[in-house]
Amino acid sequence: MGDRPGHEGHVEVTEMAGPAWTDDAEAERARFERLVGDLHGPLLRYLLRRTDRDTAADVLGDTLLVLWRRRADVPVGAELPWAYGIARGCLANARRGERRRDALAARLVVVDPPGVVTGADAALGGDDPDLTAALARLTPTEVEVLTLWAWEGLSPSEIAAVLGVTANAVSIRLHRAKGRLRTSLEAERAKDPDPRRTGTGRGKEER
Amino acid sequence: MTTAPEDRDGDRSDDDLRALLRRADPLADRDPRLDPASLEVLMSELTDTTRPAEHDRHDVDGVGPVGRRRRRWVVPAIGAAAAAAVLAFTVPALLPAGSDDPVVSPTRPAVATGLVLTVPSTDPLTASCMALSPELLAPAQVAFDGTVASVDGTTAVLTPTRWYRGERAGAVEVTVPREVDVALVGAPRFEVGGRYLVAGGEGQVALCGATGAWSPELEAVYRAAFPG
Repeated sequence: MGDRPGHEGHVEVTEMAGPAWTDDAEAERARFERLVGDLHGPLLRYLLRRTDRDTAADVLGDTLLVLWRRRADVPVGAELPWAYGIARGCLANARRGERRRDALAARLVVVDPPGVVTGADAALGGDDPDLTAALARLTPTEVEVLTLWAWEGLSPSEIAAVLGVTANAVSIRLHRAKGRLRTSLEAERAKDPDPRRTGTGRGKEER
Repeated sequence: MTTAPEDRDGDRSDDDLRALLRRADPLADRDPRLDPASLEVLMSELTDTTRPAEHDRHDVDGVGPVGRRRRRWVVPAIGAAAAAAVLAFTVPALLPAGSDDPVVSPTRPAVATGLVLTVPSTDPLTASCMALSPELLAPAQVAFDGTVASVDGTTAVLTPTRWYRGERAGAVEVTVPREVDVALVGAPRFEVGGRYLVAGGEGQVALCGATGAWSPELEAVYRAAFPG
């Protein structure tokens, strides 16, 4: 599959030769199964970083349903960012209590290693209180581009595909978000300087 | 200044920032996965192009790899068959004034909205029925109590008098079952003036006793399946 746990590297999606979708139902199903085989891991991790386990399982099911119905629209070579975009929309629906009424009967089961923490449980900055406080000063939009960049490992053009905006807009947004994060971090660290902390502080003097 | 910076250059000095954010990744190096069996079941459900009701789990044809199953929307029948021509539900004007269908009777009542259901063909080798129960009937998308207004060739038109579920159509057009369907899966034989209980979904009539001549027993099942 090509991806590894934790931070996403490039995910190799099985090459799909030939016309986008054929009339052969069996071939179509097999093709879709290969696609899901490549995508479900990264999609699950995307969701578990941002919500609790049960919601992640439900939303992943919703996402796969949409992927199936829109299989003719899958952009070859950019399947994963496109799929993240769908998962993002399904997650937003779930948060608003607006999941599809014809949702699937089948339920996905997430197998966790023991003790895995999801996005629902973790503070946004993890164990780093300065980072948590700094991120809290950013807008949700800024946090979103930062997490897509850092956790999913997406390039600006890939993030653009996820968000449905231009790569240029993402580059600007990302650049500003990074800048604001640095500034906020420095401010947090200046409040409570601790020589044991490592990070991106630009050498603020301790008092 | 709104020139977009090259993120390539920014990346070099932002590696520290990225590393910091990665340390806060809730998943860290964990690798949660989906239970493969649950994924297979879900994939089977969503790629099944006839999109059956959730309760149709009695699939004699079901052995084999994902994708081999071909389930039908027939409640509560078991079995697979090449789908008969399925007419999707359409609203509103379903009984087309300008239709070139030679079967259409000129005496058919004009209606503002209509509904068309077909009786799915069944494979005599594999079709069989489970006993009808409210649980098996409950997933139906359409259910009503109605009277046959006309029968013309392969088409019966019913006037619903009471809706248990679904669109309130002025008339429902149902294809008349072949004799083999009547014998095998209890498809009803529609007669003009007769009163019937009809259930269906996805443009198809539910068989195996789910659709049939009105009786107190069948009505009891409908009331239990569609409360309220």
